[in-house]
Amino acid sequence: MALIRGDNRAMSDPSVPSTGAAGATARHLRRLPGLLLGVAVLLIFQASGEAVARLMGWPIPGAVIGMVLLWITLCLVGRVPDGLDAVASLLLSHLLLPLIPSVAAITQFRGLLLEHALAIVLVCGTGIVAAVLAGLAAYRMAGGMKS
Amino acid sequence: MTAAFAIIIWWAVTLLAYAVARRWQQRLGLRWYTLPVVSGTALVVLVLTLTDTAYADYAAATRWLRELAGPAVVALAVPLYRQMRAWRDRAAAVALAVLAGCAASMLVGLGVGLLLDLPAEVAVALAPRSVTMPVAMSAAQANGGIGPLAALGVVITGVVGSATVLPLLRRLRVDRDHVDALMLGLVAHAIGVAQARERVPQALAYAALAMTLMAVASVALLPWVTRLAQ
Repeated sequence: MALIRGDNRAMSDPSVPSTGAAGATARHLRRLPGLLLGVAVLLIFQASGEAVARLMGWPIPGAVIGMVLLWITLCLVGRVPDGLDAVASLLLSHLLLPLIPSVAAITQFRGLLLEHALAIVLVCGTGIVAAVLAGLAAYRMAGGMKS
Repeated sequence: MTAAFAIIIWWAVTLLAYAVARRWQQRLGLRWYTLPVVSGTALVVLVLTLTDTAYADYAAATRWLRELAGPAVVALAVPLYRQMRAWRDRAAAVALAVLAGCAASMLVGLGVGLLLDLPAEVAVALAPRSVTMPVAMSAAQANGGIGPLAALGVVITGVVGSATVLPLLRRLRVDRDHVDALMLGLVAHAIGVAQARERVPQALAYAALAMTLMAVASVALLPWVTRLAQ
């Protein structure tokens, strides 16, 4: 939705009379092709990632592979196109919105959750502490804390 | 209710819940209960319960909203590229931290689960908790765990982890932007990355990097860890 909203704002602009004080409108319109291109770039890289995952039989989501592919491409190109930059920051500032429907799935496991509540909480809690301690120790040993 | 009507209604409910959650977050500050995945989801669940709607119907109506998570993950390539000068020298350290963190999280989680008499298929499902949901579900199922239960472990770890990692680091007397972002991405996957964007946007690349490497490490390590459970 965040992604679509960005486009709609620009696309509704033609309805505004272009003869008036249309400086802002014109500016929006000029940005539109770039924004759409940004959306297209993200979708194309996600699809490419999906294709790579299928071809190689990797159990990694296509979007994660698409991110790596886009990063490599940006390194080769040497800059971030304005439209892509705008769309990316819009999506990243609303990262949690698309997760809400997935997290709501928790209601389906009410039975399991209640039956094993204490064990599940303890597993998650100890796991978090263990991950941070082990990760921090390894990061230190590998010289990550040197400034 | 027609499919098109359901889509409109449930998109509207979800967007409204998200908008309200964001407003609360601005008013009350960044706390675990003001995370939009907690407060926003609670509002959605409330509406689902009041209207007696099955989750499956809601999930079907919001399918394309969930699909937006894909392009958002691809978009992480931008900070990854922008902040490359900052993380390039520490890339090897990040990889080692993720490997160690992943192994520790799975081994300790599995050990505690088995000690507490959890059935093996439950304990295995709870092992890959610090990765994005699709990876956790498919990895757990491939190793004999219950898929939906893996999703539950992922959600709980994401919410609890994104709230506790930074206080835990402060208690360990660690206060560095890149460590904050790294640990949020390592422990709390996408929810942690969102938190990193709020707290330490200048080091967001570390969170993105950690989340990506975690997905790879979890898939690679889980078969070895489950072998220990038997």
